[in-house]
Amino acid sequence: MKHSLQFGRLRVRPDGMRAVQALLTVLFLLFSGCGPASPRDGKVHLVVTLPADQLTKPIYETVVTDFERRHPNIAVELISIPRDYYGKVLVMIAGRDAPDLMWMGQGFTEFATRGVFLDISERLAAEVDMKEFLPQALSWYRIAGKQYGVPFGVDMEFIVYNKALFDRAAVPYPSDDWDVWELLEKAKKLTKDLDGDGRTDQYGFRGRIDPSAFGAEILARDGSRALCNSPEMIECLKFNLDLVFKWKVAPLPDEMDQEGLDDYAIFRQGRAAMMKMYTWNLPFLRKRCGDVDWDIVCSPKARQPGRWASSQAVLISADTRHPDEAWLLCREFFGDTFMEAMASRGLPPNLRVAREYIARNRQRPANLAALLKGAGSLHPFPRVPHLNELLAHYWAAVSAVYAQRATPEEAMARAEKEIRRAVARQRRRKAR
Amino acid sequence: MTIHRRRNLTGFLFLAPNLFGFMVFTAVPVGAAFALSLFQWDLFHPPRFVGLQNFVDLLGWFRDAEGRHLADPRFWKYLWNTLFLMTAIPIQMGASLFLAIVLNQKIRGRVLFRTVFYLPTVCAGVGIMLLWMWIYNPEFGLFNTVIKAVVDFFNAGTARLAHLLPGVSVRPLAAPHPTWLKGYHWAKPSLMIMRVWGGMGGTSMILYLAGLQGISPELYEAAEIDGAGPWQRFRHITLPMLTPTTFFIFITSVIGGFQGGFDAAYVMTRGGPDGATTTISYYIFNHAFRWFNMGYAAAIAVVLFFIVFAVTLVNWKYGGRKVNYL
Repeated sequence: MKHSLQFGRLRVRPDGMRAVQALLTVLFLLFSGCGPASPRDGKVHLVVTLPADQLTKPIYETVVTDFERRHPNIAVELISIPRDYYGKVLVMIAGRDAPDLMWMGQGFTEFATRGVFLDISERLAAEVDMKEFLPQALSWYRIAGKQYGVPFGVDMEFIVYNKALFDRAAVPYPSDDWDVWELLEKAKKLTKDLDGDGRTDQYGFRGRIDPSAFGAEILARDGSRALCNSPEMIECLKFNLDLVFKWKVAPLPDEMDQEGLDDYAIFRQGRAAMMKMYTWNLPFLRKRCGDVDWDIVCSPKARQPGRWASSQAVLISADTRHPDEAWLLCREFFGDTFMEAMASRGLPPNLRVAREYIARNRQRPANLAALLKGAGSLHPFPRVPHLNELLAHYWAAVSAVYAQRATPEEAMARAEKEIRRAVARQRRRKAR
Repeated sequence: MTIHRRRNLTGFLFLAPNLFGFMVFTAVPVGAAFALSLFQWDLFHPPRFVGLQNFVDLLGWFRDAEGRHLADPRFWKYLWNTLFLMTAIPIQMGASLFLAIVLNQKIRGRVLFRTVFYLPTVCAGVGIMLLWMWIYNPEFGLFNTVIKAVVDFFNAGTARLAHLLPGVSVRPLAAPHPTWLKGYHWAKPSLMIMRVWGGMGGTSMILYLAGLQGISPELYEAAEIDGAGPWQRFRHITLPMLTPTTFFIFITSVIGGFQGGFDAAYVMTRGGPDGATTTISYYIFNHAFRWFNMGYAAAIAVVLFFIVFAVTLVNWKYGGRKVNYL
């Protein structure tokens, strides 16, 4: 017998009912695919997000496989996010689907000041001997006395140089204690128009000297005001401009700042004798420039030694449902084994591990110890809330300088004013 | 149930998937954006109601010791960027119409040409942008290499000529070296060139082709008998008969133009140099996902909504009068 359904004056006949049932089935199937899968294997499931590339992902996988073997009750899912890492992690957190552990580099402050991470101070004090760690690197993951993480690698800048081009021009190799004037003299000798067409084919230097080498700061350490409108910063910007426009030993800003430029190809082709690079470039330099005789030195000092730096760590989410298991896994990521495996792309902050790795190193660069020497004068961005928004004003002003739309004085005055207003705006928002 | 009601129910059931998708993915987010614009929300903590403060911070001004200032001068700068990039719309529409007219002729291989011109529309946008980044590279890019080759060729020719004519000396030309995406004044035109290239053979061309094929040949025959030339036929038949198509393309392009520019800024320029290619949509993204000001980003989105709404209303009211619905 066929039944019909009555909704007040509306009666749905059996064929209409079948259509409604079909629609409900489709909706059920659609929504049953949403939401987190509930583990049914009795194991604790940990999710880790990281911006791994093709060279580092196998290192993470090896550590996790070994960890799972030793802890059969824990299953780890690695989620690799190669582009716009922080934006995607942010969306996961906002969607109440925060990973249990997450990789953090320079974006740490923006997240930490908003209470995203678990305070591990007590666990660290009780279980780990931190004496061998670079104190400064540890402090980068400490806010208001609370330690949220331990780095496994310190990122910093250095200068990579092509030894063959130095030999050809009979220029002595640079040393770790050189200064910007020595860099300039060498760059002048190494800048060449090889085919005589009036255009430079080989630049002496490709890059910019970091403001910290001139003793300049962008922001106060507490983020309360801008410090970029200083004589030191102006001097730094002018020096970098002079490298390009006065001494013509560095390429034009539009040639240097182009998105998607293959720096390794430029270096390999001998289009630059010296280049500023970063520790994460090292594995690619080894891979892509294997047929070039190259080495590295510390970036030069100007008024003082100083170089941009950052670091990497894997931190535990404050929202994790398994803090004990997450802590066990977190320890793996600042253990000797993982730190040494990642040493090919960053200096291990555990100085014992760093020294042992450098002593054993038989591949390029020969002067890997430069990283250890450089670790004495690292200059990361300050750990303040709204760092990205404040820095955006500074970067826009710097961009105007290199585009020659403003003098360093004008641009830094503008940046200072805009940062001051942005800080005031943030204070007003906080006060509401 | 009456036949009428049964038909209505069946109709709604057929519409349901689309209606459901519209509600979940469009109507609800739009409503949420309106609501969010009244809150201060950093995505980590619960939203805090601030009323219209986000709009005051965006559109208002403030006084300090140096005088009166716009509260957010960057918003106006990026709105100007967005409007500037939209000036490519008429150029793109003209190019689409030209292509459609050419490809509407009975020329050999027109199917192949139609496919070729439509290709950029079906290719991945990011891939195309990476290609254009190489084309625009000031050092190794296609454009500057070609410019240099042409100038070198010209200089070689003039030098040879000067060699043949004793007493004549010719100063060689210096090859211009546009900075394209890295130059403050070049960046916007560079994106416009790319947009015109990618858009002229796309949907607009297809719509114009369909419009052209809908024009009765009898109109052209009658005009020819009356002695109308090609230009007069184009001016007095083709253009008026295409006004509904032109109006549709213009309206949709203007709406798309206000919302556009994000992908190119994100992939090619990061909004630089010095904010020259930051559009409103990229500014919204930065506030929402880089600077964690979701409420403020929603307020910008609401303002953008009202701008688009007002411009579309004006278009309908005044542009619609010129449309010929024969």
